[in-house]
Amino acid sequence: MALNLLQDKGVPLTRQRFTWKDLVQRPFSKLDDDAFTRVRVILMNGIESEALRFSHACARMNQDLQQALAHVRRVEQHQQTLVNWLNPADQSPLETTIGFEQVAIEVTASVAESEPDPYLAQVYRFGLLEDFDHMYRYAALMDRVEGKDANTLVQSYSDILPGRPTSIEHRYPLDDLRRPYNRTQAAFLTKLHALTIMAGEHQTHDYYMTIGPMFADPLARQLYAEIASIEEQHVTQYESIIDATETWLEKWLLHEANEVYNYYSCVEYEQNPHIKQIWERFLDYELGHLRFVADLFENTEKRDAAEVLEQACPAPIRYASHRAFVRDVLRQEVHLSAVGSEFVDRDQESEETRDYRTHMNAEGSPSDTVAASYIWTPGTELAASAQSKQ
Amino acid sequence: MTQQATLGTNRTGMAVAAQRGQEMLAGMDEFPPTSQGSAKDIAMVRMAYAQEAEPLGSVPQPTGMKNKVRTAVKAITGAMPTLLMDKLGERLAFERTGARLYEALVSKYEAFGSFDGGPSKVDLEHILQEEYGHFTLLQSVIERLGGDPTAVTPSANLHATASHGVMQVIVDPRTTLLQSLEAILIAELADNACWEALMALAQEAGEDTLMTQCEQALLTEQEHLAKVQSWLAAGQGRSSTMRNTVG
Repeated sequence: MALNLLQDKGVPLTRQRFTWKDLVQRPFSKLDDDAFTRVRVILMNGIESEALRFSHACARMNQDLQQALAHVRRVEQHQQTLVNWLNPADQSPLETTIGFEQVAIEVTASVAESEPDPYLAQVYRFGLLEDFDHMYRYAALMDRVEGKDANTLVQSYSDILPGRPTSIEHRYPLDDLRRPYNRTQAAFLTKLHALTIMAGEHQTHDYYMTIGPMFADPLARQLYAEIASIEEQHVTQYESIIDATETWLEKWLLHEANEVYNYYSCVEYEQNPHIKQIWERFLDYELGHLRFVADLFENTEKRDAAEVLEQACPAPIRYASHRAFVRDVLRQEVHLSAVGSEFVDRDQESEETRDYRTHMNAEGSPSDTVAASYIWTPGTELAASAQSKQ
Repeated sequence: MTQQATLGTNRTGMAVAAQRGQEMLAGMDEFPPTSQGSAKDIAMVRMAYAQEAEPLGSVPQPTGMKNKVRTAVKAITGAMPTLLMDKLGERLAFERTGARLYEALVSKYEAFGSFDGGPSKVDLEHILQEEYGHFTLLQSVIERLGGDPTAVTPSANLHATASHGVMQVIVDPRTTLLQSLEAILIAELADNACWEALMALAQEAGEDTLMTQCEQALLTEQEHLAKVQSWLAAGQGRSSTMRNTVG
């Protein structure tokens, strides 16, 4: 399917309508659907959540855009609802968490592999190894508190192994800021990548902040507090790679283009026919948004939308296992940390980062505690004990 | 902290704020409901969704062709091997989580100690080991029958959802050992009923060895239930034989 981002009209905004029944559709099956269906649902909820977040921020700063933003935002609200409600009720918050981390591993790996800017590719690889470690810590929590195997959700696509240990991911705030791309020089794909990963990480942060207090186990509550803090660092990192000098309308146009790109990627990979129809419908809706905002951009800024957009949609995000790539990154870059916007060996970290981390870990590290000597085993570590006794 | 609840400043009842309660009630006449019908209207929505719903999931295919044939043969003879595998997966997951729950009960004991007539640490660890033993037994049974013990079957998933609250009670640092035993009672009652059902299914399937293993497990679970009931009775200062005198 070839898209033309400069010409495709999609569904006009006036024909983008919902009912409450329509918003609450049949969810995917936790047991029978492919893990990447869950990954796509979780990511697209994040993409739509970012659409709302941006739209509200933009409205608060731009009186003249408020009416246009309100129209589009209402549709985005309902798109997010429909997508997020595809998660089944038997998928517990911790199980959904495993899904969030699989998004962070596989989508970030796809982005890191495709990113044309070498510095930004490094930024993604850096974040990837941290989220990779979160998967391992949450898997240990699931195993040791609930007696469940996280791989029943991951479906052996992603490794459950330690990455850069979460306990040493804590850095001084200024050591999480990176260099932004240049809006006039960066590739179109670079801008889409940055928005995609920022959106995913922001939603991950917000999700952990919402569900963390729902856990009864004190170590689980601590672990969510700790990892939510890292997700906040990641949002800080990923929003800082975006050029802050883009105009509000330019940013809005890029957000809509990114939604098109992401739904297009979902359509290309989805195997569940019911959910594929939803991706197709929303791809058409987003093309409608893109056209609406492109017209607004051209009329308001007197610039051609082609200055910001490209005609062709880039190659889709690869919804597939990136095991070999991730292990290579793990072998080569696990020792890295950051000072300001630059990546350095851990022994060159700033005093501020070391002081901050030492203080945060002074009364114990939840992520170290939960996974003390933890080795993921098919069927949980209790199954491993059984095998060793035979 | 005492094992049982104490008197305090509970604010949930209307009697605590009688005047505010009266004010609440006074508003009912002035501001009536805006939609007609009853609580049964919710059932209509449930039924409509149920008609369009798909199952939670399926039982995975057996792991080898030989077993597929075996499944097919037994399906024809009415031995319901898929149901049996679903239920074996259910007990496996339940017992594995049960072992983790008893680990949490042991830490509850270590935090709060026990009470007169309550369990010792050895008692709890003994049950933990038996739950773990049942898990490993089911692992080997599922493998022998050509199943995958790492898979989550629909019934395993269902029971995990149903018993989520049990874990929430036991791992909460604010609950005492006695309060946590209330939660494990629910698990033990379910466990007894489910082992009984599994034993019957094994018999239906002509799996005699499995039936004997289930029978043994059921006896053990009956012991667990009786112990938990007696500890609760002791903690609440009542006789544990009351149940038998009713009716």
